[in-house]
Order: sequence, then structure tokens, then C-alpha cells
Amino acid sequence: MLSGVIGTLQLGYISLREVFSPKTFSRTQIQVFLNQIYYTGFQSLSLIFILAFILGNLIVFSFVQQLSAFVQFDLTLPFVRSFVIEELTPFLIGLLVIARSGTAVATEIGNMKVNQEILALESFGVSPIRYLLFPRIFSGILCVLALAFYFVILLFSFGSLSVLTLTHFSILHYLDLVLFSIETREIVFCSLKCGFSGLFIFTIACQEGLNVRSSLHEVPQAATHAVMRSLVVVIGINAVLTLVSILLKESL
Amino acid sequence: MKVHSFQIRLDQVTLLDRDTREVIIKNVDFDFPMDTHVLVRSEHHHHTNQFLKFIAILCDPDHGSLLFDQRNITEAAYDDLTQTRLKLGYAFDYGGLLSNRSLFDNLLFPLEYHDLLDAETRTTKVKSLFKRFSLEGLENKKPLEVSGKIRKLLCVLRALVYDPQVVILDDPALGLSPEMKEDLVLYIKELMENKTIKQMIFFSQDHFWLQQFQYDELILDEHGVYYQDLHKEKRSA
Repeated sequence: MLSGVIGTLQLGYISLREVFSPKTFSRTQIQVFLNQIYYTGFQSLSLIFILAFILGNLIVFSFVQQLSAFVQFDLTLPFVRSFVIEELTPFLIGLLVIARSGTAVATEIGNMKVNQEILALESFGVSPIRYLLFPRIFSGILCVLALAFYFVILLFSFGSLSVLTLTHFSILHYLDLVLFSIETREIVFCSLKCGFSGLFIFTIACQEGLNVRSSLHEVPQAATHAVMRSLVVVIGINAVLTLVSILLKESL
Repeated sequence: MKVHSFQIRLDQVTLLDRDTREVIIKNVDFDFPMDTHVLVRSEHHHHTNQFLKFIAILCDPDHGSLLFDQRNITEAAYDDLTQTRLKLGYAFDYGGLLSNRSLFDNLLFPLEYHDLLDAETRTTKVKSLFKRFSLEGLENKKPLEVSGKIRKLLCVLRALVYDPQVVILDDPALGLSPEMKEDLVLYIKELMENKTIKQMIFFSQDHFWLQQFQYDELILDEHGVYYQDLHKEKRSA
């Protein structure tokens, strides 16, 4: 388990250090990078929109319904905000990206390995790390961060529908409590969780894809391994960083 | 002044089969004669296949070193080898065409990635290859949308498109139609005549292909390698 994590970190490090190589920013490379942003980020926007609509209303509605019987609404919303930003968003976006893109990357690279495309790339001097891994991992990290940001904004925006229907709160007061008073700590921990999740999800997917040897039946197995490993790691990252966040909060 | 191909040298090389761990060659010292085409053979085709892959700097030896112009390639960093790799063209099996790119983009890719030639010249070059090999109309097809013989031809052409000095061809005629073989042989001969290709290291069992080139033979054996300096006269006799 630990050696697997170390192996993934090593591959992630080797891939991400390509950011310092001038060859990484050739026209072809940038094209691959933009394609990955499109597949991982842009194509997820509609799904995130729907999720944010449902969850935004559901969460804010439930919290308002349940908690407002005991505490003031003003005190409920910061709690909801902290839960959504620090816990729900990184986990949910992580799950979504694993399901949508982690499997796709593992399958794509696995198929390329079986078809000997990676060998062919190497034969004419194209580094698979630079051409295949770096754009997927780097764009993956950026996309997970951007999707998390997009999800939070949408979720609270849609949440305002419930608040306006159920309470006498003004929209400005609501926005002031959920969006304009976001704490730096919340942003930092959300970003850390999303950043590390992105790093691990895409590195694991690439690693599993590269582990495929020569048979097509290994490709779905690689995708399944990638999903399971990513899931465990994302849960682990969220748990550890939540613990760190709690300890930090207590020590201050 | 005549420009030679580069000197390829094996220094105490041991190469084992990746799967079975059988010995392909053991502690071999060998200098490939410059500017000479060499047919590589062994008892098992997968041994030849792996040996050619090794010469194309695509796998490391289990022991010893591969030297190009006295430079130890085995110890060099990946990026330091880019220029050397571009002097080598390697084609193998049916594999290796990028399935998410069109046939045209597959041929264009090595030139585009390494920014060889200007954009217009490289497009013209690839277009002219499509025309020459009667592949017009297939430019936008993906590799899996065309027959195996076209994929095979494209694999070989991609290894030649960036004008390598040394071509390493693993069964280049396999699966090609007789017309394609003729066209390809003619094209390679032209590249040899104008000194673009200076050396061809290859494996083939195709009678037509073997008849078309002058070559020496390198036979791989677990006890060593055997080199036969064959002359055309001898072969035709």
C-alpha cells in the first residue's frame, strides 16, 4: 500500500517537473493540454451544474429546516458553508472526476500501451512522460480546482432559492454569510484537498494505464484498479486534511 | 566529402527476452559496418524483434552498452537522445499509429512535434507521400477505419518521414500488397540513392524485399553473433 503511494508520488513528481522544461510548451503539447482541459473540465460543467442545483437546494433546505428549530439561521449558514467548502466539495468533485476522467485516462493509456503507440512515440523521440502524462496530470489538478470553485459558487447560488422561499432573509444577507465571509482556512483546505486529489487521481490513472502489458483484457482491469485506488486515496486525503484542519483550529 | 551513417557498436551486450528470460545474445562485442545494410536473423522472431528494439534505443540491455559514434547511449538521459532518435527510423508490426489522430496527422506528427521543416513544407511533404502511395482520400480516416495493409504502410512511412539516416525495419513488407511493396522499395531506394538513408538494419522473410537490396547478415545466437558479408553476386548465384 505504502509502496504504491510512493510509486504514484514518484511518477507524479517526474511528470510535474516537466513544467520546467521548455519543450513542454511546444504547440503540439499545448494542444494536448487544452484537449485535456476540455475533456476533464469543460465537459463536466453541465453535470456539475445539475448536481449543484439539486444539492444546493437540498442541503440548504435540509439544514435550514433541521437546524433552524434549534439555532438562529445566522449561525446555521456559516456551518453549512464550512461543511460544503471543506468537506462536501473536495469529496464530491473527487468522486465525479474519478468516475468521469480517471477511468477514461486509464483506459486511453492502457489501449495506447496495448497498441504499442507509446513505443512508437518513444521511437521518434517523443517522451511519453511529457506528451502523455504531464498534460493529463497537470490539467487534472487545475480542472479539479476549477470545478470545485465552480461547484461552490453554483451550489450557494442555487441554495439561495431555498433560503428566499423558506426564510425572510434578504439575498444580500444570505450572500454575505455564505460567499463574502468565506475564511482563508476554508479556501486553503478545500484547495489542498482538491489539488492532492487531482494529482493522485490522474497519476494513478496514468500509472494503471502504463501497467497494462500486451492484452486488451487488461485494460478494463486497469480502469477498475484506477477507480478503486483513487477512491481509497481521495478518502484518505480528505480524512487526513480534515484532521489537520481540526487540529489547527483547536490549536489557534 | 562522403557523410557516413553513424557507428553503432555493441559493447559486451547481454540481452534477455523480456518475458521468458531466454538469452538472445550474451556478452557480445560487435561493430555494425557503416553504410551497410544488415539483415538480422535469429531462431526465434521475437528475439530479432527485441534486438531491433534495442538497437532503436527502446529497451535497455541486461548487461553492457550500446554506443552510437562512441557515445554510450545506455547511460544517456532521455532528452539527450532526442537528436539521436531522430537519426533513427523504426517501424514494427502493425502497431504504433496513434488511434486518436487521422492518418495524415499520424504522418505529420513527428515533423510537427519536433518542429522539423516549416509548417507548409511539412504539410506538402506528407501530402506528396499520400499521393505517391495512392492514399489520397484517406487523409482524414483514423487508423482503425482502414485496412491492415494501409496501417502497415503508414507505420513504415512514418519511420521515414523525418529523413532518418539509419532505418530499423522489423518485417516491413509483412501484410503489404505487391504494389505497395514495390512502391515502398522504390521509395526507400530513392532515399538511399540520395543519401538520406545511409543504413538499413532490418528483418524480413519476404522474398521480394530480400531480392531488392544488397545486405549482409547478422545471425543472433545465445552463444554469440555471426556476421556474414554477403555479396550480391553470391546471392544471385
